[in-house]
Amino acid sequence: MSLYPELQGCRVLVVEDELLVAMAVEDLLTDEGCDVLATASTVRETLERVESDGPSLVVLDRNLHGERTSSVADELTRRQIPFVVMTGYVSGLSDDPAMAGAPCIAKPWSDAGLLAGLRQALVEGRDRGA
Amino acid sequence: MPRTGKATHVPICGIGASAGGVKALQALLRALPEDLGLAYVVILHLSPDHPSQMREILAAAMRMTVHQVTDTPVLKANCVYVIPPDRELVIEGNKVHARAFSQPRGRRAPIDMLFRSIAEGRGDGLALVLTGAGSDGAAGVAAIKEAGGVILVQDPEEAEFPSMPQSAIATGLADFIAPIERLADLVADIARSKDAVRSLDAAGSANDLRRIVGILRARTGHDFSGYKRATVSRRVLRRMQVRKVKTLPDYARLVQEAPEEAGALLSDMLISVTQFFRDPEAFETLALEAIAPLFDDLSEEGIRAWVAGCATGEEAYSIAMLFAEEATRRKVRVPIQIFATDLDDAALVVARRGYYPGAIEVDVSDERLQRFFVKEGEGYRIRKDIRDMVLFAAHSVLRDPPFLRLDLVSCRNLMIYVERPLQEKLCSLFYYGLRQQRYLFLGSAETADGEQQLFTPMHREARLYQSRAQAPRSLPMIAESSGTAPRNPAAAEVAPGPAGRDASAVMRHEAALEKAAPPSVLVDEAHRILHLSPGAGRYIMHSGGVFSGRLSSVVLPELRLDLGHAIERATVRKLPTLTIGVSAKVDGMLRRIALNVSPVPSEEGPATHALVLFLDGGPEQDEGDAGDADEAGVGFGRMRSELRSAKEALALSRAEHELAMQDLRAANEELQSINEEYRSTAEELETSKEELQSMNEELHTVNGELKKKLESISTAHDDLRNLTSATEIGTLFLDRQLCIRMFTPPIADLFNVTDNDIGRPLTNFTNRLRNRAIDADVSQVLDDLTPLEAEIESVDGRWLMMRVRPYRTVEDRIDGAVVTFIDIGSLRNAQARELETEAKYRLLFDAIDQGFCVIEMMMDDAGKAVDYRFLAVNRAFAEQTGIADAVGRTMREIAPTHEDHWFENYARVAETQVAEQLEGPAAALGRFFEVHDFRFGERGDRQVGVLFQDITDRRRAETERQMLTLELSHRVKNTLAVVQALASQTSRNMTSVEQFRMTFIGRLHALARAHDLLLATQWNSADIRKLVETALEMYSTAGSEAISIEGKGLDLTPKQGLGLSLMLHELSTNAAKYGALSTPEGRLSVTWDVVKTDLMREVVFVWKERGGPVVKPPETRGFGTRLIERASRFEMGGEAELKFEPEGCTMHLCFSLA
Repeated sequence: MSLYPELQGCRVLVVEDELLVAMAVEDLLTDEGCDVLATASTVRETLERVESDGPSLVVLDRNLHGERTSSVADELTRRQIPFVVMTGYVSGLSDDPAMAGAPCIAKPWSDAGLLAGLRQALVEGRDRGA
Repeated sequence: MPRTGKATHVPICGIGASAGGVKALQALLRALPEDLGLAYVVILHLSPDHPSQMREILAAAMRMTVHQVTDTPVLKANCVYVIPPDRELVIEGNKVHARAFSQPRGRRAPIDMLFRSIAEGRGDGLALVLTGAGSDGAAGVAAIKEAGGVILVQDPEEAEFPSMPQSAIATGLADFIAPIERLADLVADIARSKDAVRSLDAAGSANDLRRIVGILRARTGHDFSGYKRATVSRRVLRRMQVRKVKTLPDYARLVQEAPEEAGALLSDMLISVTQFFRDPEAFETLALEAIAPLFDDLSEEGIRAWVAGCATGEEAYSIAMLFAEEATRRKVRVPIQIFATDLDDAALVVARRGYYPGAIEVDVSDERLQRFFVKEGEGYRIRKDIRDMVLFAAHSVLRDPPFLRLDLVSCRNLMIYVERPLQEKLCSLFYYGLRQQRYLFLGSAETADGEQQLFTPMHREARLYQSRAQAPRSLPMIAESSGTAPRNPAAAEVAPGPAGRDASAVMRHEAALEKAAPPSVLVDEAHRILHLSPGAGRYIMHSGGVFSGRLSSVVLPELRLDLGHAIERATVRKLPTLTIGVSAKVDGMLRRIALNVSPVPSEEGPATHALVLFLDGGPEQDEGDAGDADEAGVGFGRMRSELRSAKEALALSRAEHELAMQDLRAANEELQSINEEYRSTAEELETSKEELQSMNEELHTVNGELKKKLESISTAHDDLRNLTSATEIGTLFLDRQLCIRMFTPPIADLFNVTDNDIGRPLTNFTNRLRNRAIDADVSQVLDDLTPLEAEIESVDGRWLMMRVRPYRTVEDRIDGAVVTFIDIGSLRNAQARELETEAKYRLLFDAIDQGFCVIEMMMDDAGKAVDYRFLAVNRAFAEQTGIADAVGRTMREIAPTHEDHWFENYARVAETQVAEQLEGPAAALGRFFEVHDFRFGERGDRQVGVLFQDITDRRRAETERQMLTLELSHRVKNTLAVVQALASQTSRNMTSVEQFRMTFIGRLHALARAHDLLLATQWNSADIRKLVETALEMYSTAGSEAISIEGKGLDLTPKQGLGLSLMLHELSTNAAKYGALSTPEGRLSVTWDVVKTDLMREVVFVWKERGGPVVKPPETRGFGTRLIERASRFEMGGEAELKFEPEGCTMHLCFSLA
């Protein structure tokens, strides 16, 4: 019962430092037919995972243990890997150019919103790639 | 003066006005009748740069025709001629001429110029001086008056600007002083009487004039009979105009009856026009050719000069200036004494005052004005050194003895008024007073050429003469005696009556007598020849020997004996003698000569003169011839021979007698010479007496001067005393030795002085001043000549302002000091109050912790604010800005990069005066300010007051707060996300809402408990033991041994703490549901220990359940299992192993400590 066929079989990397949140997102994506590769909770780990696992889609928390993830966003943009940003901050994405183009999902999130964001990122990423 | 064709000339009325003149002129011209036959010439002081509307303005006021003079129109009666701008008007014949100013701007006196030209060209006229500032016209009225004109002056009370009328009145020459309305009437009256006077018969007036002069002499003692008739007539006619008398006899009656008119006529007769350096070239010559040589040949007495007829003193002062200049040029100090005399007492008062109107600028060069005058108000006062050189005295040249031993006599424009004989007398009088080869200086129209034996002309143009070295020096007899009554009153009054008829017969008789009379000689009692008649020389024969003037010695020898006797008889016994004819050889022929000697009364005293007449009896018959022709016989012959022998004897005895006479004569000569000596001694004594008299006169003059001076000094003294008592300022005059010269009454309150202490040193007196050595102050002021001011306190607590100033005399010499004391008690109180107020405000100013400063904006040429300077700052300023010692410096100096918006804002406030408020960064100071700025002082001051606060910290706190809020929101959102995740995880595999609720709330509580623990350590760490105890708290009952916890306290990271809490919650709920805690027999042990490896400390944590129901491994991996797996890795950074063994569940957890 997947709402978004585009997400089927997508290799997703979840970048999230909050265990329960990460597990919830993983469950949602798994339910949606995605292939959740891993969950990374630090910037270093994330960059390693991106390098080694080659995800096709990334759910990126904006803050990992108080550390901004702009560098990750830059790397993803460079590699043309689509991603959505999850954040508890109400505003201020626009002041980070690395994340400006990505769909933004506010915490607490709605499952539908997260999925729509992921799809949008995928579609736009595909458009850019094409 | 040329007066030809005068009758055809239109009489002129010159009108001078200045400030306020338009109104006065309108009023005057409107009031004047239109048929007076006068031509009015109007002078105003106009701006040279603007066209004048005067003509239009005046034309509107009246019916007479008004012209503005542009060239040289012929004057017409009943017309008004107005001066154009930048021109002066002069009268030339019957025309008025406009010409460019002859003087530079600033020294122009067009009114004087017009008046002088009227006086010169027309002789008389009317002069009106109306309102105006300055003194223009004052010099001109003198000229007009002297020429016979009438002077009218507007009443200064009425004049809008009284200065010009006052100057004219000050000359003492104004005939009428009246308001405008009355002036118009006067002009009309004078014009009409002028007509009447002009029609007088000149010939018929001579007698009347003589009569008036006679009356004047009788009334005043001054004889003007020697004055020229034209002069006298002019002055008399002028008085007649003034008195509006139409005929001379009427006027004579007026003079006779009214003593004051005689006085007025006298003072009119004495008017003379004078000015400084009149005829400048003549004065130059005088300086070069007379004054300079005088300094070459100085006598012990110095230089003595006499200015006769000095009038108001200008000439005397001019000469004094020349002397002073020469003395300065030669750098010598010579006593110089100038006697300046005049009959006119009023003029002498002016001369003595030495104060002249500003109009003298025209005559005196700037250099001389600077050097010899002191500017006082509108006019100039002659300096004291020049004033001291001149002695003014009332003195009549014609009546009083002259001054003696003079080097220079200046008598200008006096002789022109008198007839020739009087002129000659004046010349010899001056000769008498002058030393030999000294100088006489006359007016341009006068000469001493007729007195060649007394004076040599030196310079004809300048009328400068030098007295001859060898000329008889005698005091001439001046006709006018000092007696009151005229000597020969009859002479003046003699009517050409009966005597006139016989005059011709008498003269004929006298002429015949002259012709027929025998030759005669007039001798005095000493036989000296006084006078010879024509032909008397024939009877004189000088014999050899000493020259003699005795007639009896030089007459023909044959006559000497008889003559000697006869003269003695005539002079001693006053008897006439007729001698018997004696034959004497006259012109080579024997003639019979008889002598008639008769006494003649001498005019000079008791001595008698003798008149000797030579009576010629015709040629003598030769005796021989006569004898031959005689036929009378022997008797006659004998008688003849006897007679002859007798004659011979007589001749012999005569010869002897003659010899004796010679001896006697020699003796007589000796006596005579002794006599001569006596006489010369007597003459010398006489001279000394005259000199003494002159000296006396001088002393009189000096005395008079001193008296006048004393009067003015006493007036000045009174003024001064009143001034000082009126001001109530303590004033102390000290001389250079600090002796008291004068003090005012308030001084007595401060010093123990009385009026008797004047002249004593100040240091002798105690004073009531605290801590002040006045003498030291005064000495200091006298040393450096800088005035000193000090506030001092008296012993009774009063405060005084003491000022010490040098005492400067008029000559700018320091002659002591003036000390004044002014009570400043109230002033000081006010000052103290002011200081107190200021201190309060200062305190306030400094007490506020906000920064405050007053700045002054600095603009560039375009008016843009480029910088500002700190004028004042408060104490908080430095703290608020970090700038120390800002006062006096500018902001750009302190911080060149200070933001422009500050300057713009302050400039705007300074300009608009509207206070503003702003916040902004000051990067150069590394601060952020909140500023309230407002105008300070006046707009032109461009000062701004700035009240400000450094709000850097506040802003930082605000930013932090904002960040915190943001962070809080983030955390809340994250926490909500966690809760959301928890809910969504929990909701999986749940069968009922109740089950979900229980499970969810339990998990939420576990999370909250972990948060509580973390909060206790400020989210820094979590103690593992507390964590464990808390997690198991709800399962352990008191005294139960079901749960054992072993391990020491260890600090975990918050993440680890949180993870462990969640893990323990899952484990404990599971144990409570299915495991060791679900039965009473079940046992749970929780243990942990630290294991040190090479690099880090590792914790081994063991959860072990035993004794519970048999455990079956779960069929599916539930949330708990997944959580433990993930949390151990994800949150703890370690590894967990969960075993579901039948005897109980076990968990091994390994993780490293931070």
